[in-house]
Amino acid sequence: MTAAALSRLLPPGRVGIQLVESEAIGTIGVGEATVPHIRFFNAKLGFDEADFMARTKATFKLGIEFRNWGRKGDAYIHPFGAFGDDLGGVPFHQQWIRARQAGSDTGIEDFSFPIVAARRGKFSHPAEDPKSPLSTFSYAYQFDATLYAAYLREFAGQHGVKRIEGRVVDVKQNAQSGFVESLSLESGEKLEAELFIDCSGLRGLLIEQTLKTGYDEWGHWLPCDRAYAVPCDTSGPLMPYTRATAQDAGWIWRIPLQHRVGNGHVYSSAFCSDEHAERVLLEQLESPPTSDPFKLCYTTGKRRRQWSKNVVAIGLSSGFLEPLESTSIHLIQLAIGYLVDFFPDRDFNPMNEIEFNRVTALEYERIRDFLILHYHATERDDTPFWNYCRTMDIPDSLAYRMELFRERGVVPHYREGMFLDASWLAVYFGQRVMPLHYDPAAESLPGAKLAGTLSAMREEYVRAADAMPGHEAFLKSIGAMA
Amino acid sequence: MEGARQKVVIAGQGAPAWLTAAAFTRSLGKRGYSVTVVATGSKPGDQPFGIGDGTLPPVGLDRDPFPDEFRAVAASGAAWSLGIALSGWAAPGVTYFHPFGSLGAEFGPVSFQQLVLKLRKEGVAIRFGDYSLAAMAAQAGRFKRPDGNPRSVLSTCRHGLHADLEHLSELARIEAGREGVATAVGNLKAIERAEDGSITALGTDAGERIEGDLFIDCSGPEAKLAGPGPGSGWEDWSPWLPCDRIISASVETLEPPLPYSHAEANPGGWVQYLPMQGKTVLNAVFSSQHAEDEDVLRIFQGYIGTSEVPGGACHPVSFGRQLFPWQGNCVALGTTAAVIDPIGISNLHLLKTGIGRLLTLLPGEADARLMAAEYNRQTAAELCHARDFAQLHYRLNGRRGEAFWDGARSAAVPASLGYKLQMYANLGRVAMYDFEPLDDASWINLFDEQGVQPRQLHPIADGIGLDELKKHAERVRAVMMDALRKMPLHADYLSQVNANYTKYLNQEADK
Repeated sequence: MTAAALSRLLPPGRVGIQLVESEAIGTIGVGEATVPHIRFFNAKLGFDEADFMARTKATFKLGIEFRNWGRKGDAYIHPFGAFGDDLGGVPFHQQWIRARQAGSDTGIEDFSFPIVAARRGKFSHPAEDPKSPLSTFSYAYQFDATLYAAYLREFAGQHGVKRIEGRVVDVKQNAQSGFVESLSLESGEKLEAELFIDCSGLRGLLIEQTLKTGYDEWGHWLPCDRAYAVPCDTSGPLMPYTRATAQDAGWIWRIPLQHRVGNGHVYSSAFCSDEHAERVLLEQLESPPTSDPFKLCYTTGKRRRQWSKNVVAIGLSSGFLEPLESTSIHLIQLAIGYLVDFFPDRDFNPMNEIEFNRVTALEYERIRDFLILHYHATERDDTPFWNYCRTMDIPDSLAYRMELFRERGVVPHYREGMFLDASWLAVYFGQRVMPLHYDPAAESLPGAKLAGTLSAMREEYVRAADAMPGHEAFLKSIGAMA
Repeated sequence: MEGARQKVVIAGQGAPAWLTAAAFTRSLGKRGYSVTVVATGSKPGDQPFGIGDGTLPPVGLDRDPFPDEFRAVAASGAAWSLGIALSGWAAPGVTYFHPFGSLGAEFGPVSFQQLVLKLRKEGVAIRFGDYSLAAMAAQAGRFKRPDGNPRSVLSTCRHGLHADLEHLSELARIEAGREGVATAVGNLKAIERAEDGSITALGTDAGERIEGDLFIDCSGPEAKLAGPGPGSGWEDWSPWLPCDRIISASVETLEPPLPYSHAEANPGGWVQYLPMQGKTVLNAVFSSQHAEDEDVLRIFQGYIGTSEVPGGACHPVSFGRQLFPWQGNCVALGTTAAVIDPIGISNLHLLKTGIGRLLTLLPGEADARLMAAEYNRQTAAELCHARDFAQLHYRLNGRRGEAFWDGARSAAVPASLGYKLQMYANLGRVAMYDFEPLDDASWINLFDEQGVQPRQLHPIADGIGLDELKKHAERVRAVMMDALRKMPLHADYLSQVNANYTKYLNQEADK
């Protein structure tokens, strides 16, 4: 992603990009589900959607369904879109809380168009007409990360990136400044450069093994530290959403692609053995596995400095946040965006590094808090893992947010941080965090009028969703699927 | 909670009290709430910037709590504002414009600002204001309210208002009265408190006793309910904002108002000229150590052309803020909560964002302590950046050899502003935080016009071909020029709005 983006965004002829990659080193193919920002990334690179989707076996994604999180048996969708419009001068969810307190049993999901569509397996592109329910959502993709890498590799090659097959065996630093000067490959080839981007994955070849920037561990808040991943064949209709089903000591993902389903079990080794985790995953597959399960060990957290000297860490070398909210690819995209914003010249003005690290740290911490919310906001007391998560200390920043929400449904805005109000609302409501009180200004709208508006909205959403094509039919209609 | 009726008591008078009262009734309706205003005895003009003030386009405000703009213009003589012309700040005799809205248009991954820096490097003389629709319209005396289409170039042009506060207050008072706001007969005399310090009732000199659940202090810097200003819980901004005295006046004018204000620096401070329909309000902000009242009045006389200065109220002023504007069941709003040098953000604007924020966080039945904590957190962040923006005008002044300005140029800056300065001086970028009251365009324009040259030009901007860039800049300007030609003159637009309002009133009267 980095090579493709930089080859497109940096002025041609002034910056040369070389990419060292070893076929002997595997990549982690877990990041197959994305968030809507990926569309801006693809658009910047000029990808044709249907072509990109056909080549990466991609499907559309309207959100993530979470099963068994708040309680066993619960299911909710975190959608890519807002819950209703402001109503009576207050945010929609305030009116919904009010309606619930007045005895209505209407679910918040009825007022999210992407959820209504996702539940019916429907998809079409959003509409521009602000009066249409189809203007109220965004979407992302689920794709084969290996095929996406190949797609990007081809693009980067066409845009002048020089790919070098090989393995880095030595890193030479400047004796005074510590800046990286060159990489030596197994072949004996020596690569000199001014800026090095570390996409080496969890080990952090340059950012950690060479520059030793340190790592903030967040395992006490996000105790999962291992995962098994395994693909299987699709059975049943192609759903336009990812699924995350909570387990006894972690959760299982299900990502529907055109040609297969990606599955994985994320778990905590403190609460679950590897053998058990693997067995649970295989038992829940909807069809026989098409390859052996692949095991991954990680430490949740973030590199203390994601940019240090002339090395910028992008991807898993910069930190690891589990794929519960499909943030891995987004974090790569974000880092590329910030790198372009703060692109250094030969003088390496240190302010680039300082500001890059300030804003990326905020992004990481706010995603971290959002992930912790999923584990902490639970009533589950059926396993030691959930007892731990339910009762653990959480970061002050999250405790404060939750308190404001529980008391009066307030979701404070922030500047950096990818998850907006609607995302927080989806998880709060989906996991039974109900505000005690609502905005008193909600009552400026008469109660009878509110009830009428809500039921009209609900009907309109159902009608509009029923009129949409099925997900698979739509994929075929635009030439994204054979 | 339906059925419960909460009592809101507002202490104060003039625009702060009535704008708050009107906003409460508009937002909450009559159900569930009662609102009472208790005067605290001072004349509205006694408040700093109490004669006339301006607002800016709101950033991140969920609810606009002020009266509808068209009504404010037609019924209270307000006028639109596209920005501020600043003369004598960058250097004596040099004028630049702080436009509301965005600057230019980005080019691929490169911000417009970096493109400007690149063009200058190539020898092209270019100013941000030449690529701001707000600046161009201000210069041409044109104005039109944007139609709300975010794709239209008109959306890049934002605006505020200039208002006569007595008239605006009257407009809000009528609206509040119609919606059932009660007014105490007497003035505030006594404050009853519970053991925990919360206020239970206000007593007046007419013998009334007004109980309340929530008390809002709009009494001005005296902070009659919220406690004394300077003293405990007060952040003093005098190390950063060097003026300590203001004189305000209002003069009648015959010409139609310009759609922008003017901030003219002088050896001991500066004078703000706020044009509105039929008058211009003058606010002189200065340092009593560096200028006498007579010096300022002479500037006023020069502007007015007579020796008589109408109004001419002099006040000492202490810039700063309450550390905890919401304490217990009492919220300080407007100049009760903070008084700022209005070179960047105005006091009326801070009143507006304060009311909007309070309405967004109104507890109802919820635990007010939590809402207060969040209110205070957001307010502190907003005010920190507002203060920094004001100080930056002084800090970057180009008036050499004048004691006041030399001192301001070498004054220390808070860490937050220090970081912004360092970032801009090095990279030409603005470090932005949560709850910033302005968009980064305002900061960029100020840094640039007051002489900060970034050390690093963005390498991507540097790599773009000159012809390509020139074409892009020409395209941007052409689109803006086209929009500008379709904009009516501000004067004509005002006449149209006034005529429509009269027609509307006549229709209402006929009903």
